[in-house]
Parts: sequence; structure tokens; C-alpha cells
Amino acid sequence: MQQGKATRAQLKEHNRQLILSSVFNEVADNRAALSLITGLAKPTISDIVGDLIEDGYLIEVGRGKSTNSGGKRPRLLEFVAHAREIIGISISGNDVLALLSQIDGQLICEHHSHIQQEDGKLPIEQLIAVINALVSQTDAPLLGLGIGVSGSIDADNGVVKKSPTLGWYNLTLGDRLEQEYGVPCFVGNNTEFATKAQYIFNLENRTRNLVTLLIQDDIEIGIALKGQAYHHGGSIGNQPLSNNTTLQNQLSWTTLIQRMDMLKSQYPSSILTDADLSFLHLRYALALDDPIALAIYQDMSQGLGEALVWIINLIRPDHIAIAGDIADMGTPLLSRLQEHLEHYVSSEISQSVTLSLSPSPQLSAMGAIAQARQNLLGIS
Amino acid sequence: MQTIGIITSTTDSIFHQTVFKGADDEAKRHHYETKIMLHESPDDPIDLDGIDGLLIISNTLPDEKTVELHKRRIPISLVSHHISNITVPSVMPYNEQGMVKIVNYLVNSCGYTSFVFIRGDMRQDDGIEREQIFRRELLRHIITMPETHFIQGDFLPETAAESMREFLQYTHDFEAVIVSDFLMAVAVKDVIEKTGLRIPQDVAVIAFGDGTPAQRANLTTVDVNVLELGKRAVQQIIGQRQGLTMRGITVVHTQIIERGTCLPLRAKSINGL
Repeated sequence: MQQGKATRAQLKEHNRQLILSSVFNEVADNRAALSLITGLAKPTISDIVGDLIEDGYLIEVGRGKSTNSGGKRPRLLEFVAHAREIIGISISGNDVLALLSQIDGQLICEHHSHIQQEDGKLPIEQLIAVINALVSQTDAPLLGLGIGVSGSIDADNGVVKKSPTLGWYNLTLGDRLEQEYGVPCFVGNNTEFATKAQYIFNLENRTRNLVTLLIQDDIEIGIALKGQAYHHGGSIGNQPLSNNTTLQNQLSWTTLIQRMDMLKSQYPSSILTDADLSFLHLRYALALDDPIALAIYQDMSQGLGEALVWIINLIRPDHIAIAGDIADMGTPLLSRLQEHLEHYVSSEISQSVTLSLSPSPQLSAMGAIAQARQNLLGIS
Repeated sequence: MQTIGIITSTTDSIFHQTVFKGADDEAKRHHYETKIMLHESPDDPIDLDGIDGLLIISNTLPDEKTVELHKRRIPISLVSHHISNITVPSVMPYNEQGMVKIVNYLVNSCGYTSFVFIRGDMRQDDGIEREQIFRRELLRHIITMPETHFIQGDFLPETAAESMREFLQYTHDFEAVIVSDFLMAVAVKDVIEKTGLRIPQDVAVIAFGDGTPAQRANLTTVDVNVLELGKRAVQQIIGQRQGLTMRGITVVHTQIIERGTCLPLRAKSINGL
């Protein structure tokens, strides 16, 4: 397909983002250095820097040292992290988490809400009411929104193609929220955003090839290859396992609870009798060698181990992060998974992959912030 | 001048006074004023004349009364309280984060595994949440704690002190006391020291919340910026005045303030303990 020429406006925007990200990443801190790094002519740099100062993104903070050849000391430029604010949202089941952030990712505040579905769908008006609570707390102009949901997303057009847990099908969520707030809105899959957050905000040491497995009612995968998010991650819950079930049936909390109920008659002395069980109860019971906990743990680690072997053989990631409430299982689960990998994957490969558990529920929302920032300011 | 009413059961406590200040400072920024509306009993009438929005602290009003006010389209924000399934926003300390930090600090940084927990007012969301999360974190660290080690405090220093006094007559078999509120903790610290136990060498004390009395007592705490509670609640009210419908809870983040009432492992090894 033949691509058209960039318009003047597109070119200016591209150059603007180049300059902004250079100062943000501390690659250049004055106009001469920016010209050297970007290859742009000095008058172009001066124009754009002038605009960025007027818009509040940059300030001049005194003079630097002269170069070896003497000459005027350059005026130093600094990025203003609080020039704008970004809202990142993550919807997980019926729970909405929204973060208000400066441009540099520093969190200003956090907002939570539980939303009741109506007729099997999450009502947009209730989502907007959650976002409104944060919008009212901005102290700088709102730059944009990012929103992560479960399911299949057309990220380029901001469309939720299919999210069965939210009852959304072909929902033009990006457009709807842009109309509401008058700022750009970027929509993505929760797991992809969680992966992006781990890469961008240095949580996993900027690993080059990173996979995130998000285990909730569905099992979703997010992939970053060579630092770029791969947009076709999503549900892998239907992946078949060797015991004639699927990954979702093996790992979803709903299934695990059903299995625990079935085992109660076999092990009446089990301590897992509470109505409100969680992975933490399971972890506690496991430490006491509770028979139901041991059986569930065996099922979980077998299923998860098989998924990891498949992922490692196919993608050869540097790091796999396991996210969701299952992360509450802690070190015992990680150790068991490592053993499984050593058994089923060649040692050369298994030793090159690191595993971690990511209990942080903020990851997807932080990734949504990173996406908005990257698209609007060119900063990654 | 537009007015935000602050409905409160007391004007005496440090917590309430700090919320008032945070709210008032933010209100002034937006050319509003605040008016303290003391509401000591559930049946006290509420005079809404000249009031453009309401900030309600804790469980000062029964939920039904708040819902009734909400139906009259008065912009409302709740501080340290929330009501489910209603478009009334709240601002609360991040109790979950704070309690996780406390337990992680005590277990991982200090090596303590046996505790006493002094409860807050169990009619208030802050009291309920802090205990729930504490119990949850005990599961994470595989720690069992007898029910007798959960003692009454009610967010009242005198009650906490009396409970601690009674408990110390029963046993000294614990390493650390976690207190739901720093004012209770100051009183409890005093009771412990009067028995001859040394803090932190014999017993550690840590509290949720911080302020000048905690600083004076050299208390290790998890701090919440209470000014932010008032500030953000006012922002939510003003947003509602501008036509925004809202729901959910804004949580204000916490941080550990290490002072002298807990002994981290690095200090123990330096001191040969």
C-alpha cells in the first residue's frame, strides 16, 4: 500500500514529540544538543521549544557550561512533569480502578469503584461516573485517558470488539469517552497494558521480551517483544491441557472453588471451610499441609506449568510475570513452577527465563497511562 | 459566597481538625467557604439554608439520612466512609495499603511474628477495613493469632489504654502491638512502659496514622496525609456542582514513618540483639 506524504502538521507534531522525549529522557538538555541529537535545524528547534515552553511542558532552568570551544553558555531545559495529567483506567470484572498521574507516571491519586452490571452489561454511564470523580481532582489540564479492559480490542480504533465479562460487543468506547471529556482516549487489553507497564515503568528491568499472564475468570496473555507491545494478545483460556480440560477450567477461581467444594466430603477435617475463601486462605492451608489445599495446588501448578512450557517454547521470553489474585500464592507456587520448567524445558532455555508474581492491581491502569503518554507525547 | 457544610460529630479531634483545614484551604482556592455543622446525635436537624454542598465525616449521619440528602440533589462527598451502590463519592485513607505496609514492615523488616491488635471503632469503615486487612495479611505470612489478642480500642485513647492494661495482666507473650490509630497508640505505649516493659527492646508498637502526638512519643507509624482527605472531598463536591455525577472511593496513599518504637533487624544485629 502506498503511503501518502506526511502533512506539515503531522511533521511538526512528530518533531515536537521527538524534542519532548529527548528532554524527558535526559538525552539532551539544551537547544544545541537537541539539534545535534534530532538532526533538526536550530531555527526549527527554537520554534518548537518556544511552543513547548508556552504550553508548559518545558521550562528554562539557568545556564549550562560552555563547550570546549568557548561560546555562549546554553540555556538549560527541563521537563515539567506536572504540566498535564493523565487518567489510566482498568476494568476487571465489576471492579474499576482509575489512577490520576503526572506525565512522568508519578501517581497523584487512586480511585476505586464496584459497578453493578445491568442486563449482563457494564453500564457506560456508571463507568463515566467513576472517571468523573478523578476528573474533578485534576490540578492541571487533562492530557488524555487510557483504559484497559478484558477481551478482544481493536486498539487502533478504540473499539471493544468482544468482552464477554463486561457484556460489551463492538463498543466504540474510545469515541464515547473522547466525546465525554474532549480529550483523546486509548483503549487496550488489560494484560497488554500490564505488560507495557512492567516494561515502561522499569518494574522488570526493561526486559526485552516480556510475557504477562493475567489469571482471573479468564486467562489472558500480554506480550512485549523487543520492547513493543504485541496487540494480538488476549484470551488463552481455551488452550487445551493434557488432562482433557482447558486452561480456564484448570485455573479460574470459580473452578477452583467448585473443586474445593467437591473435595470437602473426602477431607472433612480440612480448614478450608470458610464461605469467603481466597488464594490467601489456600496459601495458608497449604503451609499447614491441608489435603484439599495440596490437591488444588497440584492442579494449579500442573495447569500453569503446562501453559508456561508452551509459552517458553514458542516465544522464548526473557521474563514471565504471573498477575492476578493467583499471585497471592507466593513463593511456593513460583518454586513449583520453576521445578516444572526444569523437567519439561531444556536447561539452557529454562535457566534463561525468569518468573515473577505480580499482585499489583495497578499494573493495567499504569500501562493505560503509558499508552496515552506514548501516543500523545511520544514518550515511552 | 458559596458554602460547603462539613457535617461532623466532633470538632475536638486532631483528625477532624486536619480534615477541616484541608477542606477549607481547597474551598478558598475555588472561592468557596466552609461551615462546620456539628451533629452530635442522629436526630439532630440539618439546616441546609445557604449550603451548596456537604462533606460528611465518618458515620456522623446514618446512611439513610445521607441517601435522603442525595435524593434532594445536594452535592455530597464522604470522608472516611462509603455507601455502596450510590452516586455519592468518598475519600478514604488507603487502609489496605497502609495495613499491608505495617504487616510487611513488622514481619519482613523487623522479624516479629506474634502480635496484639487494638481495634478502632467497628461501626466505622476505617475500623472495619483495618482489621479485615490485618487478618488477611496474617494469612499471607502464615501467622496464627489467638482471638484474645484482638482487643477493643474504639478509636478512644482511654478505651485502648484500659484494654491494654487488662491484657497485660493476662500475658506478656507477644512481640508487637499494632494500633488502628496513633492517638490510641500513644496511650497504649504509656501503659506498656509503666509495666516495666521496654519499647522497642521488649515490645514494639506501630500505629496507623500520624501527627504531632505521635512525633512527640517517637512512635513508628503509617502516615496518611489527612489534609488530602479534606481537599479531595471538596474537589469532588465542586465537580458535582459543575454537573458531574460521581461514584467510588478515592484512596489517599500511605507511607511508613520509622521512629523509635520498632526495632528493625538491621538495628538488632548492630546492637547484638
